[in-house]
Amino acid sequence: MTEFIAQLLTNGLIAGSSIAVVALGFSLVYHTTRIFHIAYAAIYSLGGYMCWYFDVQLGMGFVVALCFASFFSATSSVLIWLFLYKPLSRYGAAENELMVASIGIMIMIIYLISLVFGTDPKLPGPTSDQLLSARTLQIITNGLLIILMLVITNISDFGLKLRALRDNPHLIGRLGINSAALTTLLFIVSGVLVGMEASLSTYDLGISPFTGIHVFINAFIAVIAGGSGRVSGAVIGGFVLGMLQAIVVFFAGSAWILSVSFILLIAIMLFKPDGITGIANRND
Amino acid sequence: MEYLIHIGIVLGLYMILVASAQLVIGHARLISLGQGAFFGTGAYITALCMLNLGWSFFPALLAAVVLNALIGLLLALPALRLKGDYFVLTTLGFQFIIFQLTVNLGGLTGGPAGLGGIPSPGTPQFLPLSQSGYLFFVTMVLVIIAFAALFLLQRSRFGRNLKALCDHELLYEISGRSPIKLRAQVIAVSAATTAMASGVYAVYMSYLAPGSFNLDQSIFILTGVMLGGLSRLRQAAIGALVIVLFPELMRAMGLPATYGPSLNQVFFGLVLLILVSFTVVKRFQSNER
Repeated sequence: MTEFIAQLLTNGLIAGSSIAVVALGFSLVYHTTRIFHIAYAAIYSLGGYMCWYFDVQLGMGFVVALCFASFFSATSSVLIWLFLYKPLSRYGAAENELMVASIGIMIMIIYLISLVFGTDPKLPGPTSDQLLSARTLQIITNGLLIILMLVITNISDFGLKLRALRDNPHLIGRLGINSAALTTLLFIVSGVLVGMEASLSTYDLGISPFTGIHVFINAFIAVIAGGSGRVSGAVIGGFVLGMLQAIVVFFAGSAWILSVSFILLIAIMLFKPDGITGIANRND
Repeated sequence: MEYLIHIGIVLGLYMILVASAQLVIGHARLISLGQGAFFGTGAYITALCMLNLGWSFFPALLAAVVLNALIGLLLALPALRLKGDYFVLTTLGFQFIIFQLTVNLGGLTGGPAGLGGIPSPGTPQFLPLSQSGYLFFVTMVLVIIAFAALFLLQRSRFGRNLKALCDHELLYEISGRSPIKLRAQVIAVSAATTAMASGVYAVYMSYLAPGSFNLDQSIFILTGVMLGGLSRLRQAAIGALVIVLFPELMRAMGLPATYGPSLNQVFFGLVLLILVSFTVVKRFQSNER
């Protein structure tokens, strides 16, 4: 019995931590820039595929593949900001228009991936010769990432500037802070986060072109569940959702994960729109 | 001739689908990625009413319209309590849920293998039409009904309220009306008109597979709306014409079936990007002057 509960807890922790990392990256971008960055889902898929390509296809080992995947994710994230969101915002695009542009680029990346690699799921390579199992690696890395991000956003100078950027993008320029460079850095950070997360999950479970969207929907549910006003809400929401999913997988099978998560989303929107932590969305 | 009738039916269906999506995206200013899912629910409801309850086509279609409106309300009422941005993700989630449900509820929907053997509505004696000719006729009647309904709706009090809501949400709320309620009604209406198209689709194809109603379908419809334009019904018709004829054209040019669909989607993504950039830049320049 205790073994069973421990198993359930571990599964929940792994699922929860990986949802939390993706949710962190998304909510950082969303709450700072007000850009509804749906292309984030495609960047996840891209990171996963790059990891698979360098690790399994070219056989360069997981660590090298992880670096390449993070690099490609960060690059695509920054390119999307520099050549799409930034010029569009400068021309005064409305939030809806940015969102459609983001949907457009998401579709392009995901289907380019399926053109190049095919739509069939890619499986991880043999892992028996590895020092650490994929799941241990996930727990350790995700835990470190989450703590690092919480520290950065709450304590560091960078986090302080991000909050200033969120609260008043015009004033921050007057204070001599380069807000464009700050946002570029933000997109790099979110790209690296999602690239690492995608690699870790690919290393464990493999990847298919639409995995990114599934993960992204989970991350979004976590952001809503945790309370969308603050970054830590995403982490709490991620762990709650992960636990729920582990329980669902055990009792009903993995086919029902998304359905149950969606029911949770509807219930939270109905009864607790501010999320579990009860922090109202202060940007409204 | 058969091919022309086929194109005609598909075009009619997409005219309804794009016009319904235009109501949500253009008039209520809510980006929806779940139009394909509404298309699917309508089709499955029609098919299940005909197969399991033994209803004939028109009562089944009516049931699909009513139930789809209800599903629209059930999705929209909670989703709209959050900020408008989150609506798009809720519909995206809805899109994947419907796919999973149609796959998982194998006993009801036939699972991944799909639902086959949907009977076609018999041609009435007094119409000298073939089976597909009759369906073409039905489609055209439904297009007229849907467009007339949407046209009258936009001219009515409801449409004026919607315009007021989009022009100034805060003022609308201050005048004692609920934006959530109005937007939810819009989504219900859009789901209902979408169901008209899905009913015909179900009997015309006589076979439904979960894969027909996935995200591709929603993106397809969204592209149609953006291509045509956001405000007028005739723009929806033009958008539908372009998105229906484009893949046919690609196929005629001999694009292999293995990567043709993916390439089409890449193209649609590009179209969305270019359209948005164009609109934004054009508006900026006209403001400059």
